Amino acid sequence: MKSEELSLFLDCLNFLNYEAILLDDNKFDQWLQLLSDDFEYEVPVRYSSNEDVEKEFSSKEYLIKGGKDYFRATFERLKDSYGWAAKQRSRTRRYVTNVHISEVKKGDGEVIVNVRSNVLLIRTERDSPSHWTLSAVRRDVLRVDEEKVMLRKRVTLLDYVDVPMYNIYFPI
Amino acid sequence: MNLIESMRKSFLEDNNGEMPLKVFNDYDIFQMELRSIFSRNWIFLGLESEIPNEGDYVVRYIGPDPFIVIRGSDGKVRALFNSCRHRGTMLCITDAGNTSNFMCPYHGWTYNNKGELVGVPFKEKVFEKFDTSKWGLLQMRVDTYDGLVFGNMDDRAPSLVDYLGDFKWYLDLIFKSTGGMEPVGPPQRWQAEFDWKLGAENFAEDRLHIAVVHKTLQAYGFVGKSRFGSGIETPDDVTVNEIKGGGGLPVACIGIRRTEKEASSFLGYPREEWKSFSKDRVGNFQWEVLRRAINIVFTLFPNFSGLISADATDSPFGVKPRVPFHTFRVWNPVGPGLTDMWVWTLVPKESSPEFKRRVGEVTRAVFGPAGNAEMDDLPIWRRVTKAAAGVFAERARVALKGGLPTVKELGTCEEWDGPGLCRPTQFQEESQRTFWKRWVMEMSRGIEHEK
Repeated sequence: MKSEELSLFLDCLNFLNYEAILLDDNKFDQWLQLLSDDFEYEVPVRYSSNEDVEKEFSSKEYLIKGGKDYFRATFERLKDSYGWAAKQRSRTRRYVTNVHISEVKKGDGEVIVNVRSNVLLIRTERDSPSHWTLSAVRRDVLRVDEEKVMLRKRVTLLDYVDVPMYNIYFPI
Repeated sequence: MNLIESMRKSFLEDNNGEMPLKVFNDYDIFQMELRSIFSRNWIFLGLESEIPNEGDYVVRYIGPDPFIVIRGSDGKVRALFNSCRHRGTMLCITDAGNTSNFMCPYHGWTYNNKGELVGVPFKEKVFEKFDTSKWGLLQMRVDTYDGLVFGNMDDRAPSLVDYLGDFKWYLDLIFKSTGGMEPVGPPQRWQAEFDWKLGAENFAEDRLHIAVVHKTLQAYGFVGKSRFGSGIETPDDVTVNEIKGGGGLPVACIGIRRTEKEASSFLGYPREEWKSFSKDRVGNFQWEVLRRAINIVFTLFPNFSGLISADATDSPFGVKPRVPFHTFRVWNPVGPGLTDMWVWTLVPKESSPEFKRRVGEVTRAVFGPAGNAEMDDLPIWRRVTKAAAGVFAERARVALKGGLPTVKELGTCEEWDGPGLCRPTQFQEESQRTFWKRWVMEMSRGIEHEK
């Protein structure tokens, strides 16, 4: 790997790790600052058909589909003492692995990077010794310039048709 | 069973709304529900529009039982039990598709899309005189109403139209006068540790929880003032309870909120999206109800619920158009205190693609596992179910007493020209009691059956 490529890879890896830390620590407002204004986020519904795996994800129905405004509004609501989803003493831990840069496009003072990663999210709650897991592949588009990395787009492809978690109030 | 006896006394004799907490988490109750309720009533499976062409299928469940809901080469919709008649293998392992036949991967028995056994390898060598016409896939009864597909495992049960009874009047208002509804995409599916009846009774409807659980929906701008989430009653809010189905049994409840008398709302559809709505398909009063409706929520016994509510958004800080959200769902029990949810966003077939897309966006921002309303319901339903798990829980009785004759007089709605017992308020719990009444009737039938 050339030093330029390595540097870009480390920037992306660092970004994904930092972002996971913010989300695990429920620092949602700080996470919002990592998103570009035209941020798009999708978690499509998965269903299996006789066709190939790429076609298992719906282009019409999603579990979550929104932009920065959507998340800002949701996070504000959850801060309220009646924002019940975030009041269950849930803990989330994201394990981000298999980070791979699939495409790099150089533009006007910035680099657009397509990054694929796996995420394993483990959620525990209150005094319960059991946990829920969500496993997924993420296809991200990162915008990298001299000073910072921003998340431009994220498509999270869950490994489930029937999602084994009672609610999802956080980004994956 | 003591628990059922206790429910009988509370709901069919004393009418005191007191119920054992254990109904929400008990292995025997779960098993009995599968036999007494889910094997004998009409259960929602999906929409005809999900399988428009010959050979189209979706796999759906009633409890743990898998069925292939398929349109055969003769155009007829069937529900085939997803199990080979030879050694029982599950035939179909996809969720949806199109096929002319299913071949079992074990010994190669093959069925066509009408469920007939059309191929048996080594037939002449081993099965020469075997009558394949008697060994087609097992089928459950299927019928449709307003494009909704229902199945019934009981061959002796009354027809779907009988079962729905007076609730047809309300289904027609939603599905017929709008020119039919179709899903924006495949259903959202997820599983959670709560009892299916908590969801069903909540949509039956539980107006009182909205001011507490969903207070923030309105406060943070996801829904308009005085709409979903409002703790303030408007004079034209009604709940229609005790809607009678076949045999005069209560089969559904529906809550309807309406705007001021002269306004036209049509559930918050923009004017250009009313085109497919027609008053010719329904009666005058039904049309009047739809014209002024801003919020409709119902449960059809046992586990099919729907909610349409005007004036919502996914981005309160943004400028995108506010549209109604539309959520229709099945609460499928898969274990004691364990429920699978299947949720469709249904939109009028004839509405514009942009409107359909927008309704989809807004609906999933409010309902579904990550929706801002539903993400708050589920932890609470889980907490009910968890509290009901133990032995001390057997002593606990919970009080569903809102609007009992001995507690608060509800009055009746004189102007209402539709079927059911119309109350001029939604601040009551008679609607949930209607659900439980039918539940205990069905469960008692189970006990009598065992005797």
